[in-house]
Amino acid sequence: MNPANTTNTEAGNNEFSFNGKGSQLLGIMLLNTLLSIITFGIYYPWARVNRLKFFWENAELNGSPFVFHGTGKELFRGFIKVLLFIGLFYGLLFYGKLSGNLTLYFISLLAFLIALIFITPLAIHGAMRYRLSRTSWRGIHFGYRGSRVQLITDFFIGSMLTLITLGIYNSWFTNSLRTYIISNIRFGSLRFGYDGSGTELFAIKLKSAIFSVFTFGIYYFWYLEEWTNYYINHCYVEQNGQRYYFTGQLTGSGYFMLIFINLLLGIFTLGLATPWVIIRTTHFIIRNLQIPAEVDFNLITQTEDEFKDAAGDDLIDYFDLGII
Amino acid sequence: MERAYKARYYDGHSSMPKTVDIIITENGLHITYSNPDGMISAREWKKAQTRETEFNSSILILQYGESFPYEQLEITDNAFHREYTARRGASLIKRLRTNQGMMLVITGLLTIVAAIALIYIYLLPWAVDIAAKRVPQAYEIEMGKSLYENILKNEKVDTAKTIAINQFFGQIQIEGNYPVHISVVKQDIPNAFALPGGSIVVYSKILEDMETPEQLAALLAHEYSHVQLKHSTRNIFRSLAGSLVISIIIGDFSGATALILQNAENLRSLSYSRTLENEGDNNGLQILKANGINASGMKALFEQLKKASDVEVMEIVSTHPDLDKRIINVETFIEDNPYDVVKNDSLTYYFKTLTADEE
Repeated sequence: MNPANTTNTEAGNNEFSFNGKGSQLLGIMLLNTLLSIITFGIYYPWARVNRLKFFWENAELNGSPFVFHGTGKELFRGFIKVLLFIGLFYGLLFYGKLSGNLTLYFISLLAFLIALIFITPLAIHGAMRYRLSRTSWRGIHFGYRGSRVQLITDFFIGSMLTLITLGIYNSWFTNSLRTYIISNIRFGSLRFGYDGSGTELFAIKLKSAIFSVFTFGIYYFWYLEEWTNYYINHCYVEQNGQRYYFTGQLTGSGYFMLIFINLLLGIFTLGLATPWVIIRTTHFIIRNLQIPAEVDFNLITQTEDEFKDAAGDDLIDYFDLGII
Repeated sequence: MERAYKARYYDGHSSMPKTVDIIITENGLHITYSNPDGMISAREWKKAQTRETEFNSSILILQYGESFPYEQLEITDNAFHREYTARRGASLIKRLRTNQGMMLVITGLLTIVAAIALIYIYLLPWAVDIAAKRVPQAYEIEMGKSLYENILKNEKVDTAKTIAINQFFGQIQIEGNYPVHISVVKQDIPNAFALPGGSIVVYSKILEDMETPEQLAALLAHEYSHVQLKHSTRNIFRSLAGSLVISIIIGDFSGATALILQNAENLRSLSYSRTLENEGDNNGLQILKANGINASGMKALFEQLKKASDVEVMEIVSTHPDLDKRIINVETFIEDNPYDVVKNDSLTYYFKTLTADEE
């Protein structure tokens, strides 16, 4: 790509690319490992920042890289908060158990379980705010405007309904969560949105359940194709009151080949190819995600505030929630 | 003459790029650009407040400002990268990501791996051996007792043979004051092992295969040597310490606890190092010599075990490697140590009671 051309981007030319190399990622992973060992693990937050920066700085839109502004210090502070939070609730639980008082034990157990229910929405909310706020492109920062109370309430009600309906409600639950979270993402003056429907998601899942039985599970990859493309195709960017939709171009066979070759690479190199596997996967995602051509990325203005509390992001990492 | 570089500039309020000229100065960066009305504007970026990206090798991004939002420069000119780095110095991460830096990282990692391996292979056994040698006998006996109970929990002890084998062993004069207790367990595997503190377990199968009392005397002398020389204690310490260190390194603390608990079961197949086996053999031969028992009993024992291991892949194969070498060792001992064999009727008697009542 020639960056000189991209200064005056015309509509229809929004190009998203990833230029990170496997060897570079391997170098970062080795570096992170060494520094983590000699600091007895304290380097971990800085190691995570190195990886995140590598991915963002090598992702380019119209020739301009993204920048991740988070620091190891912020993630370290967040991690301490998470530890205190977890310590508090475990402490409460142990105190209740050791006190020998049955009422006290049940109260502490209840508090612990309630905290468990809150952890996921709390983590999503915190991570979205932190990560998006600390990500920028051409100096314009992303942002998340969702309300914590709203997300916790939606999450609680959705989980309960899913439980009561034996999982059937899950499609509608996932869909409403997506709608809420994505519609609260901002990229400066650009607003993101999602308008998929729970009923359609349910239909995709039902179809997959039926087909998978007859195809011995091979249909799974085509389910992923349909599911992911549905998700992407219903995501849009709003500029000047106009909605521009993303296009998902994932194919089941492409997905199958990705997984298959990643698996072979992993087995035959005893895991040494991990960095290349990660890079291949990143390329696969970016290649199959088409950004709406009509959006003029030169006309974005700064709208969001800065947010530096990384606790939510650390919570996601600690519990390995893998939601974002 | 200072050189001017082309770059793209963003003011922190809009994503619209401006083409600018930058000059690297003593105090920072001097940025100039022409406005739409033809006027030239200039910005000064102070060195201390300029931040740079580290992971994109072709586009360098510099950011400036004390408070949000920040101004930004995007520079693709490699000549700028070189001059900027030469004058400002590179960050630690950037320096480590160069070829020389990476060599340093890899060397560092290999050194750590080598250090851990050395500690594990040399330092750890050495420290463990010292610790094991200093363990009080009372503790050894106590530890051996609980291990014994643990191991024999699910085994069938042959009471009559147990009495007989202890009487047999009572005929042999030994050094050391460990309270020796031998148990015969009904098992179809030719095996025997010693626990710390004096407990010895002999499987019935190995007795069935024996033809002479000298073979049994050699077996017991060998196993007792492991007790007397604290081999069993050292081995348990070693196997535990190694696994504990590995568990701690990979951060698997619950695994470490489980390891200690399950260790009792693993003892029966715990193998001694070649050195310890040799020590056991030689000490056993000395016991045989001191008691006037024919040392060829040990040779016969090894030949018996060899035959058994030829028939099937037995546990004994892994615990007693290179039996041929050990047979040669016994032969050398016999050549070098001629002594009178004393006929011992009691040994023959107890041996007969041990092997007689088949079925």
